[in-house]
Amino acid sequence: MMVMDEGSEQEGTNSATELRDEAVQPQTERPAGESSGRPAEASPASSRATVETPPAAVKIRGRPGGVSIEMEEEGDWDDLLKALDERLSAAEGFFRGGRAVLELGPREAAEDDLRQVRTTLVRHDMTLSVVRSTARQTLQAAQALGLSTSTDAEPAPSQPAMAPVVAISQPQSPYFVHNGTLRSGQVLRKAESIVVLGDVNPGAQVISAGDVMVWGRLRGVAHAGAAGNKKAVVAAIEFSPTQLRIAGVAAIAPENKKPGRGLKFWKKPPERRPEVAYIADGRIVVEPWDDSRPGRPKTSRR
Amino acid sequence: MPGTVITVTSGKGGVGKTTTTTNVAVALALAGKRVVVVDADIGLRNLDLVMGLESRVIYDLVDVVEGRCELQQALVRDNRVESLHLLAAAQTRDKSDVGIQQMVSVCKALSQTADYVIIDSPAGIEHGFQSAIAPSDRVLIVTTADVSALRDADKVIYLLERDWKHQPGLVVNRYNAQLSRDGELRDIDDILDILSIDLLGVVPEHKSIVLATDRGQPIALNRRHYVSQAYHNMAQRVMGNNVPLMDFREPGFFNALARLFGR
Repeated sequence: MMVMDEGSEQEGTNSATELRDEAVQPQTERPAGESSGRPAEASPASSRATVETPPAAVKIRGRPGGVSIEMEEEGDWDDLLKALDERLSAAEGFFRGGRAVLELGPREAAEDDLRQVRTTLVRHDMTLSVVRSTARQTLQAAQALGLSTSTDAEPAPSQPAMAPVVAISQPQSPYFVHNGTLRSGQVLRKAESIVVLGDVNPGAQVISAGDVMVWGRLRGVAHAGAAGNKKAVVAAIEFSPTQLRIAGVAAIAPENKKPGRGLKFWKKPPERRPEVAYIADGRIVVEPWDDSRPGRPKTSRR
Repeated sequence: MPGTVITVTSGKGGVGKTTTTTNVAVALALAGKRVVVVDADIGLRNLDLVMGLESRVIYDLVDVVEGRCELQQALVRDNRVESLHLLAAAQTRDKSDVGIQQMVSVCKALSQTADYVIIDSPAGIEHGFQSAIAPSDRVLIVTTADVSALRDADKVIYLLERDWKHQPGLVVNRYNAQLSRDGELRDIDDILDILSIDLLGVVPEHKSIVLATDRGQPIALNRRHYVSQAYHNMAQRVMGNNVPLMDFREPGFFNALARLFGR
């Protein structure tokens, strides 16, 4: 494990706004999708405005340890149930065994309503574990059913009332995949985590509110967790970035060790292993990817 | 069938666009092709100097565009190679005097009679670069092994792929094989690693190229000199023939020995 030199707090606050101007890039094939479920990314900074899917009644999102189901605030309950049922059927058992958090917002739901949801979920081999709402009546109904509740104390992500559906049959991944090499002068900015299938050349920049993964050589500037997510990681097959930033911490790559001089046959090429960078104790740490694999002796994991 | 329009560009200045243009053109002409070279660097004309044709230029590109002469009148024929012609740039004007459309139509007209139209692009990525790229069927990127040249080449490749859908070919100029062999400077593989485009040719660093360029006697005319091989090979590859990379060591006793020991 090696520690990169000089962490400094300089980004952090202003980088959230930085993420909004997406259009530096020539590629517009795909609207910016939902950010992944981490709390830091559910901030208003993520670019929801550009999503083009039709308005929805039910929204299903993957969450660590389960899914969250958001029901539209207005609209007929039976329609919502039907929509939920359709989505779950379309998922063809993708969520089987999952625990669901039901997000109801200010809607006032009766005990019966919640029971219907529970039956629907059970039909799809899922369990309803938590009901989140701001309405008292709903919470009481949930408690009566023996469900745990939550009052939505943390501010709900500011979403337009007509939020898009996440079509489960084609799950909208929280990853943006860039196919090809990023060349000098090219900037890739996304609210989602970024996967680059190709190289990031010196002079190019990859900026994401989530993780940055490079299936190739990372030689440019990578900024993960640009909206402040300190859990974000940067990983690359060949890891030699000009500069590395995770959330508000920046680091410059250490000098690459030159292969020792010597005759041709004895000269060893420098060892190349995929590496991962993350923040540990407020500093950016880079280590070979297989050091952090489960089953390996732990060094200093987060 | 109209000929091919090839633009030679680099992004960074001083890496050898003009020298490469001249010598590839000469090599193509010596291979029997009809070649016209166009200097697109209006205001900073020097292709005619490098080709040694300065004194014979009467009309230039701006004269053609503004209708002061016929296109054929403005072409300067090289007296050493029969099938090589030059269309010089104006020294007294600037790049905005020739629009992109005008450049395209001039090159289209030239390609009716020539096999290859080779455009020497100005440095940079501004208007002059745009109008040099617009008419081209193929683009050659000239770079040296320096970081700065590579960085600029990379940017130019990005622009070409984004705006023009070009897949450029790479010319590595002033290549110092000794430094690369010693591991001091990046070698061809490292350069291709970064730029990841097709290699069209490698020109070794050699003082005779500098001198020949300065005297207006393109090195490619001197077929007996070993470095001129680099340009002739490049010309072959432009014509679609597959030739191996040349040996970058200067011929000689010690180098022959070194070769024997695999260094």
